[in-house]
Amino acid sequence: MQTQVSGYISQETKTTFEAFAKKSGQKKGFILEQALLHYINARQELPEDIVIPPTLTIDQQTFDELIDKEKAPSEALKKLMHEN
Amino acid sequence: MKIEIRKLHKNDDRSSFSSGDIEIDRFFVNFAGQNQFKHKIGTTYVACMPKSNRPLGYATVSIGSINIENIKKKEFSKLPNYPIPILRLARLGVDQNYQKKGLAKMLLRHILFLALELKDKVGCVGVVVDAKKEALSFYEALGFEILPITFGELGIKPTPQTMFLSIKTIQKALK
Repeated sequence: MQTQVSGYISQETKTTFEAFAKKSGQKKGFILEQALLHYINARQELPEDIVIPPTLTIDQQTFDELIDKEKAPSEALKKLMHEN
Repeated sequence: MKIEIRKLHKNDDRSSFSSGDIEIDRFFVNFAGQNQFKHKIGTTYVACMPKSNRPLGYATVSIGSINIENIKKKEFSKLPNYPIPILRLARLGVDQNYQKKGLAKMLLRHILFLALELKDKVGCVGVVVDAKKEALSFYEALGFEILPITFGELGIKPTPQTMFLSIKTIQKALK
């Protein structure tokens, strides 16, 4: 028996996924199921606390205040970067 | 004391590393190798005496990205519609016998230069660290700021504080 799942993914991943499905001639559902099983197996091989999540999610305010702002370096940072 | 920073080698002797933090030691002794050589999900840089295979300190990094959630449509155009690349410093530890000798700073400096290199070669907007409570002041003095995240924290307990330092700030510090 089959069932349906849904979730949001990036446009980039969707494009890659669709191109792969087209090139390989495999059904999208088959690829998704295999990918999920591979992912779950890989994660089960590793203890939870040693995995470094590749993606961090922040909100827009944090982006505006931290990521997108240029700030002057601290004296400690300047000293560190000039040490030999 | 002459110290070199280099990538972890397979034949490095990690067995006796002891920083005084069980989690930092367990990761380095048991997982840093497979993390780098088998799974390719992170790279560890070590501080060693020249020609020694006994690391005195280490820093593990991996490439990561930042996503922005709930972008308001009217402001969407000014925000990047793709993941923003960062370098993530997930672990940093120094052996108890070599603490307070500047090894942590040397390792961090190496990572900041690595981020600058990545910026030029593949793009990188900054460095994210997962700082333990006792290391917060160390990173704050260098200009790292608390980064509130809604997803992507490490699975360590207690949860470390995620902090961010912009690549523009790192670059300015060189001038």
